[in-house]
Amino acid sequence: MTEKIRILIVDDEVKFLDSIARRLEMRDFDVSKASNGEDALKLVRQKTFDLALLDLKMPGIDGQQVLRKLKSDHPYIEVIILTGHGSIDSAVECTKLGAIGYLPKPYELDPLIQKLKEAYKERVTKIFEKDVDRMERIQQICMGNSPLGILRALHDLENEGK
Amino acid sequence: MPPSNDSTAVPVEIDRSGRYREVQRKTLVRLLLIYWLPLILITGYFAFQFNAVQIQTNRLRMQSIAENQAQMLNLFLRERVNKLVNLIDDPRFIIPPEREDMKTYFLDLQKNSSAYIDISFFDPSGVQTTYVGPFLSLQGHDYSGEEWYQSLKESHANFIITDDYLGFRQKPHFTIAVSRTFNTQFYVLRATLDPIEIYRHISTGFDSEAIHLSIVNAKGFNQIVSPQKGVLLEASSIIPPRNPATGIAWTTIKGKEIAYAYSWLQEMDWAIIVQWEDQKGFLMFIRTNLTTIFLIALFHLIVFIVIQIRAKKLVNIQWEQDQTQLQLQHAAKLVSVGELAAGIAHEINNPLAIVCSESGLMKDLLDPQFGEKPSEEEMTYHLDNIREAAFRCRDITRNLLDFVRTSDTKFAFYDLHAIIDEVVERWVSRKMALANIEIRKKYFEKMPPIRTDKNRLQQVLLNIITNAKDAVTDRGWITIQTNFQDDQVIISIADSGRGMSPDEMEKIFLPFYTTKEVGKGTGLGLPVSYGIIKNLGGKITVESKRGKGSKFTIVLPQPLIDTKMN
Repeated sequence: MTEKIRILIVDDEVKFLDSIARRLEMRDFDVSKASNGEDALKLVRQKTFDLALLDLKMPGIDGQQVLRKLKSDHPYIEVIILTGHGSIDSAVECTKLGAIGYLPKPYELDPLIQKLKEAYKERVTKIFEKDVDRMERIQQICMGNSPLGILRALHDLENEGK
Repeated sequence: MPPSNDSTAVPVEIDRSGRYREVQRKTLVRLLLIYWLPLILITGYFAFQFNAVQIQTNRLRMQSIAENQAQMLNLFLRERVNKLVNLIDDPRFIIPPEREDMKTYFLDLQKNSSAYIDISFFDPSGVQTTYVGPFLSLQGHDYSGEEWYQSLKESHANFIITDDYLGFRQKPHFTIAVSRTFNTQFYVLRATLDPIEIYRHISTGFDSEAIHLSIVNAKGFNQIVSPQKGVLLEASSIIPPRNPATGIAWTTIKGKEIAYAYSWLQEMDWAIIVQWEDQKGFLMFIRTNLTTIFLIALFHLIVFIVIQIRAKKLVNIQWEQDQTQLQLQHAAKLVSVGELAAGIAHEINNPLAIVCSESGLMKDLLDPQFGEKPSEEEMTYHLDNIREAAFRCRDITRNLLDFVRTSDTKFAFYDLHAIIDEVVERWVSRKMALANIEIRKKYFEKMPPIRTDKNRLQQVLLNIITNAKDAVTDRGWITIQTNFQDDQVIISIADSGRGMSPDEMEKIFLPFYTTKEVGKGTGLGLPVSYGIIKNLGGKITVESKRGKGSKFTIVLPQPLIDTKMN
């Protein structure tokens, strides 16, 4: 294993944040911590993340707003909501906004790892599907186009993924 | 077992008697003002108008009576004159007449009118030569010096009608005399008439009680008058004006202004006077409009009943609306309790998550597979975090329990009055004495032992008595009264404090509502009391009026079945 899974944890309870981060680090995750929405969005701009664990009720920018922003700017980050203020309404709302999972506090480690696994699988699948899609498009581009046209199309395709 | 909670029951029933009776009274007064006042004004106006018209009508009627009677008397007198003239001018009249003939003439005249007293004939020297009538002594009397005789002799006319006078017979009468010149000799035929008989003649057909007829001469002496109401030849209190010859006039008798109708006769200087009594406006109105008045009274009665019913209905509608509102508020309160519970659960989840997470981490640290070697300080740090989170949980649940202490009710039999006395002696009596508040106890003497939770009930009593104390300012009183009826214990705590408005009354059982200064009240005393009493199977009601004080009543059922179970 050369590279760890990068995960962002956002929660305003600092003690909770520290302990869950430590436990995930012991399980070979690359963990970044943010105790509010502003810090979380700042971190996302600096570093690429695979997964995010997000609390809903926070001072300042609340969880739902962070979720909306994350999914629109970085569609390949899979977000799991971890909150003590859960309700069916907010779960439905978060799913609509693109969260892949919704866990209540207090959490149990095994289901959390299970959820993280599913989320990471989802992310890998999506990226893979995107690659397959690209291959197909490359094949299409290469058929029946002038060499210069092929060159230009491939260049566009490459830039698209960035 | 305490009875199950009935969520649709209304906890605070508004006392119907006080506030609603006032609303009912106000509505009634308002409606009465709208319906009755105009009705009374209109009735009064019509009575006044009717009265004025009636008086006017009466006056016109009296004037017409005066004119008619004057006319009648004119005709009557002229006829008397004509009869005498016809008699003396008749060629068959022998001068001087025989006594027997005179008798025949007299009887003939009396057939027409009973007013004739006598008839007589005068020779040229003025001596009454022939007399027929009751005063036979007058026969042979010389009348040449009499005023009427002189006047007739000097007059151009051939007749004279005199005013009343006493004459030789010393009895009021008046004379009609006619003259005839025969062979240059002056002869006179005369008749005397009785004024009382004339009065009878002109007053027939009237109610002499209500209408008073009299005749005066130009000098204002009674000429013809009702024997009951005046004396002949006496000065009358009324002298009618000369111009116009007929009409309505006013005079003052004994300081009272009265109206009368009058009419001067054409034949002579006599005036007929008609007096009447104007009846009092309302009496006359009532007498003449009995049916109308009955109908108006009936109408008023119906209006009154309709107003009563309407006012009652309005109050009922108001009461129902208030009840509905109260039920809605109760429902809202239940919702707020639900929200409170959800909020508390969420608050607990956060420290709980810390406990789980920290303990999980400690387990991981000790797990050989991770190869960690935690120091003692590190482990203590995590344990402290767990403790801190647990205390957070404890604080939240303690608050919750304070709000709804229903978890551990312990029922036993107690002496209710001892429970109350303990509260008063231990917690409130000193404060009351300092604040100059008198505590009055009205205990029900035959109070049986009651089954309840002593501590909870004391908590409620303390809450309510403390509230009462805070509401009473100085030199007030708090009355604690107990009663036992229909298997129910009733405890009422009334104070002479400032009372509450209906708005305040609706909110007092809601959590966190307080009228006290910040820091003095938690807004939880009454909600907690409400919860406790409900848990004990009873109910709290409140009556209050701004400025009059408040009264809280606790009803605790003591069903026999519970006693057996114990």
